[in-house]
Order: sequence, then C-alpha cells, then structure tokens
Amino acid sequence: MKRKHTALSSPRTPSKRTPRAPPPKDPTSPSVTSTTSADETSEADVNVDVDSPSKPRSARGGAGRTVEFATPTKTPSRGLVVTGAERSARRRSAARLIEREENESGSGSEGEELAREIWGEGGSEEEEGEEEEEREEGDDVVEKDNEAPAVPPTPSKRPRGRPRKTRARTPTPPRDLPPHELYFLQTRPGASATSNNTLPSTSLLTADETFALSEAYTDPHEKQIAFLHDLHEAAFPQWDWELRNGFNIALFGYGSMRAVLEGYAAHVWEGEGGAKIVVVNAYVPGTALRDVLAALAGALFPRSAKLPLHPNALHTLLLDTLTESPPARPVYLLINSLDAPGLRRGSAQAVLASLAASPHVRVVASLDHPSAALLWDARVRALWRFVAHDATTFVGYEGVEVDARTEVAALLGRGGRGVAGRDGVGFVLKSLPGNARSLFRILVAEQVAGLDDGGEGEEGVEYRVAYHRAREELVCSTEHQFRTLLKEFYDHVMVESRRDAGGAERLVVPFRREELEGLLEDLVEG
Amino acid sequence: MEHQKTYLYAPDSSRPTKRGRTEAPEWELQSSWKMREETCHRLWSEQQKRIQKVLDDANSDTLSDILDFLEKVEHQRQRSKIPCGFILAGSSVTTQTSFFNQLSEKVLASGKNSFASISSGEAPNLKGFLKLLIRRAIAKKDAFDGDDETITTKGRRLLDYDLGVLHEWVKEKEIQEVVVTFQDGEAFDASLLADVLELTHLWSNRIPFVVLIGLATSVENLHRRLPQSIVRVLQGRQFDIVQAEVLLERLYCCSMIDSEPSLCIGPRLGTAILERIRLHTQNPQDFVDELQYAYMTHFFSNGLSVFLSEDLEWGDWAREHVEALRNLPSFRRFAEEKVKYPPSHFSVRQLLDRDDLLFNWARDTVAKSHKTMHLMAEAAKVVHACRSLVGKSNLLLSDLFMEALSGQLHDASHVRELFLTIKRAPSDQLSRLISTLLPLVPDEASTLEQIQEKLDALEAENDSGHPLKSEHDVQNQTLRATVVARRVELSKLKASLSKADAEYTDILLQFHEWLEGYLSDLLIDPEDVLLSEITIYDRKAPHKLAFEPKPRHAIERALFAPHDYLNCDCCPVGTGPDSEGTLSFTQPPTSILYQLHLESGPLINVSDLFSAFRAIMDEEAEEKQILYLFQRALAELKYLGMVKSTRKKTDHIAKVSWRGL
Repeated sequence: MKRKHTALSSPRTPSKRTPRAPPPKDPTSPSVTSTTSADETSEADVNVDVDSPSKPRSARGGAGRTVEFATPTKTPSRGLVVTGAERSARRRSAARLIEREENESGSGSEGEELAREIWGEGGSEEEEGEEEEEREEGDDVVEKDNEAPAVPPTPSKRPRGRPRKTRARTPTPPRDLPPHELYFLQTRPGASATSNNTLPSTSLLTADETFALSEAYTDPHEKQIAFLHDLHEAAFPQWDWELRNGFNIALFGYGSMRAVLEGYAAHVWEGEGGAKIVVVNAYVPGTALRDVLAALAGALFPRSAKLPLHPNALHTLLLDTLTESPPARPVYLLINSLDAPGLRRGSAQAVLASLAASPHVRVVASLDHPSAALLWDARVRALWRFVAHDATTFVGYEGVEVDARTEVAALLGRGGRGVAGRDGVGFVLKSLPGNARSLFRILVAEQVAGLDDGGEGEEGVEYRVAYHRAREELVCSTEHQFRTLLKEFYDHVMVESRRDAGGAERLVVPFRREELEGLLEDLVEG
Repeated sequence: MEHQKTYLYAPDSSRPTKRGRTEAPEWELQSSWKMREETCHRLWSEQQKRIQKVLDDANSDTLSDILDFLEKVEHQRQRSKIPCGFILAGSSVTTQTSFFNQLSEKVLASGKNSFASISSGEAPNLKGFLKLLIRRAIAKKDAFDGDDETITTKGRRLLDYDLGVLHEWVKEKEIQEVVVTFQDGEAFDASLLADVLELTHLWSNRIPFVVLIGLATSVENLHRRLPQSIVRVLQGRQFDIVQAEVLLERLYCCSMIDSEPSLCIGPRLGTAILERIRLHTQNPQDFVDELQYAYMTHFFSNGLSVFLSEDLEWGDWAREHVEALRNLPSFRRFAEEKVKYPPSHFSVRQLLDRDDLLFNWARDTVAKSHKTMHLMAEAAKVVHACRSLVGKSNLLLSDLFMEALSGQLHDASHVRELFLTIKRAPSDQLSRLISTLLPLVPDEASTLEQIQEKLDALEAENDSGHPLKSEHDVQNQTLRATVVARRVELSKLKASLSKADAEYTDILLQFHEWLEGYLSDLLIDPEDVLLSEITIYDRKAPHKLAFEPKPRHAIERALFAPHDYLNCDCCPVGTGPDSEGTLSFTQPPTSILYQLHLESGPLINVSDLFSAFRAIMDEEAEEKQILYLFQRALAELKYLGMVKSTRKKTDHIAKVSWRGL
C-alpha cells in the first residue's frame, strides 16, 4: 500500500489548475463522503458504531488521499450510537462534535478541529455528494490500477499528496501564518523530509534546444509588460528633475531594467543632444571597477590622453578632474545591475559612490537583488544620495543577465563552472593535444574507478597516483610536463585541486557520476 | 550592446525613437513649470545657505580648541610622548566625516602642517595603513603612480610604506606637525592601532607626529583595548563634537522656525523625517536631503506652488492656475463661509468672476499665510522659552512647532500645565520670563514692557530681600485639620499676603492673561489658513518611497501576486500582501515557481519541484517548453538570491529567503 509520492516536502501539493483551493473544497474531502458509500450503507445501518472497522480500510484504500481523521484513533471504545448511516463528512463531524460536547474530555484532537471546520463550511457538499460519489469511484478504480506496481518508476503526471508519515500530523497546514511562524513551521526539526527522486541527467536542455525555445517563446503578458515600461517612461521628466537637483536614482523591482535604462538614455540624448552617456552592464561576467572607471575616463578625456593604468590612480585623477576642471555638461552614468558580483566589493562601491557624489556625474542604477542596499554602509550611502524608484518590469533576465542553462546546471552541481557541461569539456579537449586528452581520460577513469570502489568522501584521484599513471602511459615524462598539462584543465575548471584529510593533494573532475561515465565513453571512443 | 561591459551611448538609427512618449505629458498647469523651477531653485538655495551656515558653525568651538591644542603641542612637546587628541564624535559616522574634512582644511591652512585622515575600511593592515598615511601626508598626486612600489628620495630607493620617505619630506619642507587621524577609532583592529601608535612613537623623535582619534564611545573603552606600553606614551586630551541629535534640532530650527520659510513642511512629514533620522540613520545630512526633496516634490507636483514666487505677474499662463485656485478646499470653505454673510457676497462673487482679482487676492493671501506661519513659529518659541524657564525642557522646539502645525499645541496638556505653573511664579521668575520673551515677540513688546515697568516699580519698593509671591502659590496655603465632632475637617488657609504680594498677583495675572490671549490668537489650526495647500507641504508617501524603499517587499509582491503589477485578465487577483497566493498557469513562470518554493522547507527536491511545476502548467504545452520555462524560472530565482545550491542531497537546492521576513 505504500506509494511513492512526487511531492515537495511541502505539506500541501498543488493539484491541477486550482491547486490551492481551501481544503474543504478540495477534491479530497468529498472523497471522504465516497468512502462511506454504497456497499457500506447497509452495514452501517445495522452496525451503529461510528468507526466500524471496515471504514478505515476503505478510507485507506480510497486512493490514499483521504484525510486521516476517519481512522479510529481513540474512539472505538466510546461506542456512541448513531442511528442511520452517516453518509457525509458533515454529518459525521457533527456527531464528533456532539460526542466531544458530551464527554467534556477537554483535550481537543486534530480530528475534532477538522470536524469543526467541515461543519462550519455549510451544507453545499451534501448536495454534491451524489455526483461526487460516482466520479470518485471511477477515480478509485483508476487509482487502484495505478497502484498495482508497488512503486511507480517515474513520477506520475499528477502529483498527489505527500509521503504518508506514521506520526500524527495536522490534516491541513495552518493557514495565513505570519511569516516568522511559517519559517519555524518549515524549519522545525524533521520537517524537511524530501523524496529521493532525481532528475534524469538527460532531462536538462542542451544549449541548442534552449536557444531554439527561447527564440520561439513569447511572453503572454507582453501587453502588460509594455504598459509597465510606458509607466516608467512617463516618470522620466521626474528623474531629470531629481538628477538636476543632485540626487542619484536607484531602481529596484522584479524584472530586467535594461530596457528602461536604455529608454532613459534615449530620453536624455533627445533632451540634451550629444550628452555623454556611459552605460555599464555590470552583470556581464568579469566586469570590474576598472572597466567602469575606464569608461568614465573615456567620456571625460579626449581619446589621445594618456591615462594611468592603476584603478586607484585613475580614480584620483577622475575625482580631481571633476572638482578642478569639470566638464561643461554633466556625464550620465547608467549602471545596469549595480549589485552584480563584479562591483559587489565594498571598496568598489565606495569608489563609485565617491564619483557619484560629484554634481557633474549623474547616476541612474538598477538593483536586482532584493537585499542590494546591504552593500552600503552609512558613509557610502550618504555619498550615493540615492532616491529610489520602483521599476518593476517583469521582463525576464534570461539570455542577458542570466544564462539559465548554466545557472541551473551549476545549481544542481552538474557540469563544471568553467565550461558548460560535457559538451564544453569535449570542446576544450578538441583544441588540446593528444597528450592532454589522454591525461584527462586517465583522471576520469581513475575517478570513476574510485567511485566504483565506494570510496566515500575521498573523491577524485590522488596527485601522485595520477602522475605515476600518466608516466606509465607515456603521457608525460617529467612532473613539469604534467603540471603544464593540468594547467589548461585548471583554467577551464575541468579539474579542481583539493586536499584530503591526510593533506595530500587530490585532483577532482567536478562532474556527477553519470556525466563522468558519459565523458569516459566519449573519451575512449574519440 | 547588452553583452558589452561598458559603452558610450549613441542613438541607434535603426531603431525608431519614440519621440512622442518621451516628452513631458501635456498637463494643464505645465505652463508654469519654468517659473516653478526657478522659484524652487531660488528658495532652496536661500534655505541651503542658512543650513550650511549652521553646519559650518556647529563645531567651530571644538575646531578652534583642537587647533589651539595643535599649536600648543608644538611648544610643549615632551620627549618620548605622543601628543594625542581624543575626539568624541558620537555614533553618527557622517557627522565625523564632515568634521574631519573641516579640520583638515583648517590644519592645512597654515601651510606648515600636514594632515592624513584614515578610516578603518581603507587600511586593513599595517602596510596598507602606512602607505596611505604617507600618501595622504605628502598629498602629492603624481608621486605614486600605481604599481610603482618604490620611491626615490635623494638617491635612496625606499619602499612606499617606509616612514623614511615621510621623514625626508618633512625635513625638506620643514613641516612642523604631521597630524595622523584615525576617523573611527573603534573600528580599527586593536593590534593595528597599537602597531601604528608604537611606530609613530618610535619615529616621533624625527617626525613631529600628532595623533587624533575619533571615538564613538568613550576614552576608557579605547584605553582598555590598547596595551599598557602604548597607553603610557600617549599624552592625551579629550574633545567633544556636537552630537547628531543636537545638530538635527538646530538644522530644523534654522530652516523651519527661525527664518521665514516660504514653504513649510507639515507635521506628518516633519515628524516622519525627524523620527527616521533620530531612530535610524543618525545623519543630519539626511535632513537636508529630505528637505530638499520636499521642496522639489512640492514645486514639481503642485502647479499652484508658482504663487510662492515673489515677482509674479499676471499673464496668459495664469488662467488655468486661477481656475485651479477656485477648486482648492480651503478656498471653497472660505467662499462658503463668506456667502453666509450677505455683506460679503459681493467680494466673493468678484473673486469667482474676475480672474485678475483672484490672482491678486491669491498673491496677497499667500503672503498673509506666510505671516501666520511665522507667528505660529513665534508662538512655539514662546512656549518653549516659557517651558525652559520654569524648568521643564523635555520637549524640543521642533516637537512643539510640529504640534502647533497640527493644531494641537493650544489644547495640549503640557501647555495647560505651563499656565498653572506661571500662575504660581514668584516675581523674579516673572521678570526673567518677560525679559526672555521681549526679543521673541516684537509685535507685543508694548504690552510686555508695560507689565515689566509695573513689576519693576513694585520690586523697587520690595525691600524684604525675598521675591514677591503669587497668591496662587501653594506654599502660601496651609492645610489645617480640625477635629469637629469626631470628624476631621480639612480647611485651606491662605497665609496672609502682604499688600505687595497682592499687587504682584495682579501683575502676574495680567501677564498670564496676555500670554493666554496671545497664544490662542496665534495657535490656530493651519488647515484653516487660507491657501495652506500652497504654503504647507505635507505628503508622506513620496518621501517614504524615495528614501525608505522596500525592494525586497516589492520583488516578493511582484512574484507572489503578479496581478498587482500586471493587472491582466488572465491571472487571478491576489487578495492582499499577507494572504495566500493563488496559483495559475497563466502567471509568469518565475512567479509560479516562487510560490511553489515558498511552500517547502529549507531543502527542495528539484525533481519534485519540477513535477509540481509541470502539474500547474498548461496541459497542451510541450514537455520541452515546460522544461525551458522551468529552467528559466529556477535560474531567475537563483539570480534573485532566493535559492542556492547545496551538497546535502543530490538534485536538491537550499531555500535562502522566506517571504516577509
């Protein structure tokens, strides 16, 4: 009877379309009605015990999604006599409530709470009962068929319920919890029992597929997104006014603000033809402070000017120029994703803020991360002199700010960070000499062998071992050569170097097992 | 373009420019924008000058103290001691910064000193500190070009963190003092501080070092952090600079009360600004920013603010404005009030019919309204002065003024209490009160002087050596308990008052009456002031959005209830920020995934997450399509910092943030 469920660790699982219908309206609760139906009616007429032993069985059999309160937990001994079949959860709830009233036992069980809820819900379900019964029974048949294989090999199309736990639990998670209570509910010990399901390694899209799909995809909310964009554009005169008064502007909200900033650049260009507008795309990997400074210097100085190379010196030069011989017209500095990793360091922010404090530099910056404001301490914040505007756009980050495929791969620990997965490794190896290919094959083979032996924790292959194997196979003759070959792998993060418990260096190919095996196949064949 | 790190914007000719849209929206009152902009600029720069003066003067005493100290140190320099000044700057980092900037200017002004100010963030270790110290002290820009690690002085090549460089330079320029300033003494690593001080001590026989340390807490605290050997060589003195809160109060008073401000910040906004700075940022500069923003918003959003301009002339632009004037609530109230009394019918009709008359009337009324506000400020000052003279100074002038602006000061309990106290005041206190109030209330001077004269005459006759007492003074009353028929009877007995006391009581009552009348005349509800819509700005919302943004809340709301932003027909309406979300396959995929991830605990199985996601998505959509959207949404969640990867379990991700926390 044990079923494997495809569910999050969440207490409730969304069902089709109306996944969050309140519990009483959920298909599961009418099913309670159905469990006590038809064949049981006659029995119930005679046997007047509320919880006849046949009931729980049918309840459990009824698709494994019935709510547990029908199970006899403490009531059997009480033997309350109820005449007539209780055909609905509602009627039974009433009985339970009355029973409690009479017994005055005080300790309200969870079942009682639910009973109250159902009772309070009103009688609409009684009318529906008849129709539901038929439908549910049909479902039951299907589900019993489904259950025949004890554990479905693939996650079923429709997720149902969460794994049944033996311990007592609340039938529905409490609703409308304040955020902190929800946090404690979700992080309470033992709450995070997640299933062991894994995504098949083939299930992630390849680069080509992603590209094709992203080309084909159109956002169904295009009209609304355009409207939001227009809304922000309507605020441009206000931005002008704020910038003219020496404030800088910070934009926040969900969605890429690239288009808004570009629109603003066009607006400024039109307003004061030929203004110097420096656009920084900080989200581009590798963008650093020196790029921003160089771009700003490019706008301030003639092309022929000789500029210092060191960022510190350049910064000083820029500050001096801005105070001593400021440009005739202010320079606009539009920064996409000011909170991008490249500019996240405190010193970078301080340098940028000191430039932004000049009345001749006008900054409009977008902030993507919800906690971006934590980048600034009081001093830097005072320098920025930011006025914030909500610029929610709902434009996806995908493609420009975020490379979804690699991000997801990295999130799941698949594929190296440097090269994009298995394809990437193949690509790198193609451009390397045969020796390097052989070395990589050795490393992968050793690592797979190590995994086969079940070497837990000791991932990868020891440096010495790898070197000797490489010499045996005549891949290299000296350690220097060996190091040179490895260097290329390090650069592309195809190999990582770690220290094991004994302090020995281990070389690790940062891929999962399936991928390693796939790689090995490719290497041996290639 | 979007994949380039940086570029200089140039319009793309291939893309059509949306010309129509970028122009300012045609607004009826837009015609006066130029004038409003000029007015705003003019009024703000006046205000700014006043504020700047307060800021400059704030620490002038401390500054001159420190300069004095630096001068004396030069002559009293003891061998083997480092002269050291502890500057107690309080918790406000930004006050410190502006103070040290001022100090640096003053110190360098003589041309014989050198000044190096270093904050903890800039110098993580000794080497970095020394490099910075030398660079700042020498203040030569081109001497250090980046990567060059050495400096050549007199044929010797020295490393750029060698204090020898500084020594050579000091000898060459005949520098009298090298002032080294630790801006935030507590934030420095204790061992770094000790190392630097030890080094300065070792070099102090060659380089004339003076050390200044900015402290937020106390000297004792610093003392505890330094080793004894270092403490022994310090020769210290303590300076206090004005605390942020005091400075904030001064700024408020100078900008709102002392001068005749053309734009008044209303009580709600004023309280919000002051509270935010007092409780959160502790930065007086923020007050200046927010004040400026209030000016900007008022002139930007309120077309009628043009009437605050001084040299206003009737012109074509004014027609719509005059029409808008007629719709102001305060004008309507005024007109309705007037219509009730037949004699004034005519004037109201004229205001309604003739634009030019109304225009002139509005100009005069705005001027009058300014006067009213000014008098109200005066009244607040009077109350404050009285309170501090009778020994109650727990309320700040800014609080009192804000109370006055909300029309509550006159009936406030503390004012009633004040009146009771004044009724009991002895004569010396009264004369002090009058002399304090005289300069504050120029318009009422004659009345006060009369009272003063009478009082002086009476006091001249009084040769008892004690001040005269008021009849209402409790000390003059004694309680007598008598037992009459087994009952205790309490009876108040007034001590016999001398004739002079009785006369004094008359004078005191006169003063009391005057003060009462004066305050009730001036402390009216500003909402009743005509055209207060023009002279008072009191909207909290724009400030809250601009200065206290909630980016996280905005993003969470956008993802949790996308309908709030998109307002589309397809997605279900979110029922509020705190209620349950509603899932629908029409919502943006990131939003769906976000809501799903909210339901789970700290670890999330991606495979199951995908099944749940797929269950919600459109049935007709292809598997690959769904997978694509899923990937995209997951990557976006990671980008927004909602989830991160974990090694605890295969194909699991860790939840990083909880909604609303």
